Amino acid sequence: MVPIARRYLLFDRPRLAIAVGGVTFAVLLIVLILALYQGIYDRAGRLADAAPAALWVSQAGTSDPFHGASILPPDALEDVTNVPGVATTQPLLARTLLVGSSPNTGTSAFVMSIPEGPLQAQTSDAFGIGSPPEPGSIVLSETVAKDIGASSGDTVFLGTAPLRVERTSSLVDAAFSGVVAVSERDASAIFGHPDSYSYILVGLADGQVLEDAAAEIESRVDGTNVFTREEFADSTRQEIEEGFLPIVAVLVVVAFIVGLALIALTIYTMTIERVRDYAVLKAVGASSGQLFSVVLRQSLLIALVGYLAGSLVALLAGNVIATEIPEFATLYRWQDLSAVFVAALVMSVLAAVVPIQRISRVEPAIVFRA
Amino acid sequence: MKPAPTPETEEEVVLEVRGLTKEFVSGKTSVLATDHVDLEVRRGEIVLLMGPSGSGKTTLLTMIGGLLRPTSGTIRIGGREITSLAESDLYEVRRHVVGFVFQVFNLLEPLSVLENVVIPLNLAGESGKDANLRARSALSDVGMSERVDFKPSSLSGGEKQRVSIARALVHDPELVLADEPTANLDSKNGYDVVVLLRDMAKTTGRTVIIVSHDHRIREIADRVLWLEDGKLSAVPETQAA
Repeated sequence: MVPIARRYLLFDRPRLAIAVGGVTFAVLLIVLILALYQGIYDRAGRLADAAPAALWVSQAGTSDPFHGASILPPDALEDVTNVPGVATTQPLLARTLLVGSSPNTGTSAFVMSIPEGPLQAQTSDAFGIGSPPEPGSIVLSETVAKDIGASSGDTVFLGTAPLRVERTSSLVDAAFSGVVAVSERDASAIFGHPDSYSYILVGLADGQVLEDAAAEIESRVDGTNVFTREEFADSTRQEIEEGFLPIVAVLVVVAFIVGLALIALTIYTMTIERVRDYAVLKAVGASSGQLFSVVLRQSLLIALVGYLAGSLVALLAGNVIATEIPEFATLYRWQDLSAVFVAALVMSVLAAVVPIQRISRVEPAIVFRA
Repeated sequence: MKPAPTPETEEEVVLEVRGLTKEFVSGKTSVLATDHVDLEVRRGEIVLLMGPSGSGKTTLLTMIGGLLRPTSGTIRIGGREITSLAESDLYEVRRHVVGFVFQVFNLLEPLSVLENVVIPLNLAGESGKDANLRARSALSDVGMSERVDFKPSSLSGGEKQRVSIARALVHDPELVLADEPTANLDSKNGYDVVVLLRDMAKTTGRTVIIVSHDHRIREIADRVLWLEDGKLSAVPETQAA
C-alpha cells in the first residue's frame, strides 16, 4: 500500500516540524507537570511513612507536619506513655524554619531533633540522620546542602542561630523542602518551647487495634490528635492534592489545548491546500472512509511522534531538574505516561474531526476544473 | 479515417445514456448544462465530444464517470444503472469500471510516478508485488518505465499526461473518460498522447470518450458528436473539418 498519509506529511517538512514540535512541547509540559506533582506527592508522605511507630501524636488541630507547628502539652509524653496498650513512646521536635548562610535567609527546611527515648536510635536511622548531632552542630540533607551551598565545617544559620555543619546525610526529604537535624538542646532553644515536644511516636503492645488505641489516646490526653502512620502520610498528601491538583489540572488542560490546536491547525491547513488531491483520490475510487483514514493517520502520526519526543525530553529534563533543583522531586509513573499517550490519541482524533468534515464535502467533480 | 467497429462490438453497448439532464441552480438563476441527452457507445469505440466552451461537455463526462449526479435521466455502464447508486456503491464504479484522464493531469505531487499509478489498485484492495507489477506494466505501455521513481514535478507535461493515462488504465476499466487530454500540451506531445489513446483503445478494446477542442483527435475518433446548449447533435457543417 502506498503510505499516502506519511508521504503528504513528509512532503511539507517545515509544517510537519512545527506540528510535531508543538505536540512535543505540549506533551513535555504535561508529563513534566505530572512528574513534578507526583514527585512532591510521593515525597510528602515519606517522613510519616518512615517513622518506626504505629501512631503519630500531634497537637490538636495539626493536620500534617509541614503546615504550622505542633506543640504538645508539657505532660503529653507522660500521659501518652501511661495509656493502656502503649508499648513505647519516642518524642520528636520538629518544625519548618529558614536555614541559610546568614541569619533569616536561605531555604525552608524541615528541622528535626530526636530527643533521648526508647526509639531514638531507630528513629534517627529511619529518618536517615544517623547519630544525633552534637549541640551547636547541624546535619544537613544533601538537598539542603546543595541548595544553600554548605558543606561540613561551614557555619549556617537556623533562623538567627549559628550552627556548624557536622555532616551532610541522605535524610528523608519533606514535601517541599529538605530536612536538617539538630540536637534536642538547640531545637528546644530555637523553637522556643523547651518543656514541650512537637510529636510523639507511639509503638503499641501486641494485639492492639490501631484505631482503638488512637481513640484511647485522644480521649485520655487533652489537646492531641492521634494519627496512624498511614493517616498522617495521607493527611500530608491530601494537603498537596488540595493545594496543587487544581493548578496542575489547569496547566495540563492548557497544554492539551495547545497541542490540540497545533495538530488541528496543521492538519486542517494541509487538508484545505490539498482538497483537489482528495478529490482526485475520490475520482480514482477512494471511499470516504479511506480518505478519512488518510487524515486520521496524519494526525495520529504527528501525535505519536510528538508523544515520543515529548516524553523523552521530559525524562531527560527530569534528570536535569533532579540534579540542578533538588527540592523539586520528579516521579514518572507508567500510569501518567499511559494517560498522556491516551490524551495524545484523543488530541489527534479531535484534531482530525474538522478536516474530515471538510473532506466529506469535497466534490470529486472539481478534478475536471483546469 | 476511422476504423469500422467489428461486428461483435457493434452488438455490445457499453454506455447507454437516456434523457440525461443536469440543471445547476443558484438562487433564482438556473442553467441547463445538459438537456435530455441520449447516447450509446459500443465496446472499443472512440467517441470525440466537441462543442463550444460551456456547452456541457465536461458536465456530461463528469456524470458518466459517476462524479456528479444528474437532475434526471439514466446512465448505464456495462448494463449497470449507476445514477440510482448510493455514494458507497459509486466508488466501486470508479474503482473498477471507469478511468479518468484529466486536462491538468491531477497527479499527486508527494507520490512517485509508480505510486501515482498504483493508487487506484490500492484503493480497490490490491496491494503488494502484484499491484506494483501491474502499475509498472501500465507505465511501460505508455513509455514511462524509466521514470517510475520520479516525482511528478520533475516530469514534462507530456510525461505527466502519459502517467495520467497509465493511472486511468491500470485497473483495466471498461470505459476511459478523457477531458481535454491535449489542452495543456505542446503540439508534439499532444500528438503523441492522441496516438497513445488510439493505440490503447484499439489494442485493448476499451471504450474511450474524449472531450476536446483538438481537431487532431478527429483522426482517431470513430464518431464525433457535438454538444451545444446542453443538447447533443451531429457536428455542424461550420465545424466539420
